Amino acid sequence: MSEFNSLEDLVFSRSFRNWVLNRESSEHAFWENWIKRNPERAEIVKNAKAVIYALHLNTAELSADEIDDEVGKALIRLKEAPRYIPLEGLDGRRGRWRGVLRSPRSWVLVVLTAAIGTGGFFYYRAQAHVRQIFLNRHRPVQVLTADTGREFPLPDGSVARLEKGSKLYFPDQWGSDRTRREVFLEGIASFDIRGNPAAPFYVYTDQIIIKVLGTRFVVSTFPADGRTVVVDLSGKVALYREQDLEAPPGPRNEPEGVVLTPNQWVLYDRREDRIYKKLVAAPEPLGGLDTIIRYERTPVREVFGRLQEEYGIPIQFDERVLDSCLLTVVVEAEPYYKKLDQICKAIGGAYEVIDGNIEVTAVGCK
Amino acid sequence: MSVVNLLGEDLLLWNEYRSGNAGAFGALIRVHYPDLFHYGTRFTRDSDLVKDCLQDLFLELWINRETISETSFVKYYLLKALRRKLTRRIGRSRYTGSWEELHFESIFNGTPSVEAGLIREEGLAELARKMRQALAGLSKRQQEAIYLRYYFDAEIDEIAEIMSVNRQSVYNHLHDALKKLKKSSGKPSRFFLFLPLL
Repeated sequence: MSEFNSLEDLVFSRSFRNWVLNRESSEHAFWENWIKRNPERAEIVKNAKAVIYALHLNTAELSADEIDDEVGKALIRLKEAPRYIPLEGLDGRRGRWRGVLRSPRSWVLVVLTAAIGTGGFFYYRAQAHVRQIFLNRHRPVQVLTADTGREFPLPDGSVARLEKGSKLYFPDQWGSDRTRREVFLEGIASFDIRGNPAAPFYVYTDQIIIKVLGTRFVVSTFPADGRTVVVDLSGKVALYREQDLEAPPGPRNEPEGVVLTPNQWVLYDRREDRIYKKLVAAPEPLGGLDTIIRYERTPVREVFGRLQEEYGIPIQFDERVLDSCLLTVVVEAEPYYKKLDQICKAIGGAYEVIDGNIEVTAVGCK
Repeated sequence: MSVVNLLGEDLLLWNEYRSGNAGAFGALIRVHYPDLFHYGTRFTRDSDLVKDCLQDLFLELWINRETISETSFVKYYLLKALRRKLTRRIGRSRYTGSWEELHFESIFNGTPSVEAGLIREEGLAELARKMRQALAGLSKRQQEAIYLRYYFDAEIDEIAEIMSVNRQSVYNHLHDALKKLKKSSGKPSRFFLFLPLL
């Protein structure tokens, strides 16, 4: 570690600051020791501490929810951007993913990079661990490396498209264990998974383990700051943390994970170990085609049921209250939230997005 | 506040964003939002205005994604862009119509917010109060330079870039600010000789 000779050396040292503001910090031993060895710097240390206390701000910070809302808003606005060319799904790269998203097979898009920086310790440990689990189970492994983005066929007939600089590890002896297909990913990749209910496909990443349950889906994970974002656009995808897979299975003999339905996304924060489940900014209909539906004296239950089917987003409402509601409305081919608005307006209700689901409240139609 | 340097990851997301990946863009702004908001609210107490500016900034970044340059300092790029935007929104003078200097609001008024229990050493709380006063007495630009240096680990070049001033004046701001802080500690000490800054 470099020398700390001056007030500014100490004040602007992140390590010193951590120690001053948090006695439990891992730098504790280093600084106690350093101070003992440098008694002549006691005065500087004291001043530096005072400056750090003085610099401490007590400003209100935004909650994670508020930030997510703002980011969600921004993403909705992208759709309105003049040069935005609307494409299916979240990924706006012109043309590039169009074929992918329309593919009859299933695709996973996973982006993963190593996080650098402080706070990365636990992250690193976890990362090493998931990797270890994978490597212990599969030896030897083969590695695919991409210098430029390209597609690789996998032994089971699935295809992985690796982006520049990404690596994919898969076992040499894939065929021997037919109950699961497992790969480990470093970097960015899209997977075109061949559906096989007898052998689920697992993508191990440094932060989270993704299990493909269905046959048609798109997932993106964008980790940053120890976070992973997984977006599901059409099909069912399950996410597990490492400890979920190690824990005793739940009542249905399945590990406790988070299941995503289409148009939902999650943000997993490794350091907080929290999963935030959200809806994508602009949900897309699963069939790809938006339709105009004319309802005439149709029970609300049916209208919501149809919408849920169309977008795969669970809609919850009090059936007892809304049972009597008959709806006459034309649901235009317009963005999902507008459709919801329209229906809610017709029944004098409102909706909220809670944990990636829609919750409708209304007083009823009697 | 997250000040973790995520250079590698940032770059990846930045390049993905520039090639039109909305998901990567979402992840990118999610990561930087807290810091951008914090910095923005240093110039105005109107947090809705800051949110608004950020929304505009994100939209512009998206529209111009193909012409946005590669940068190795994504966070500083964003901070600078936000500062420019805020200048345009709140810096415009009502009288002359010209753009005026953005005012970094003093963040160091009042007493330090660290819980008293944390400051155990004798005389330290008092010293911290003095330092706080000294900080509050610094010029806006000095305060901003210290803030960027302290909270975002920005180097002199980066501070100069964000504040749109030259390197030398950032150096001077920081140097003078530290000089005043040292002075306010009362006791002169040989270690307060001016050692090379940063």
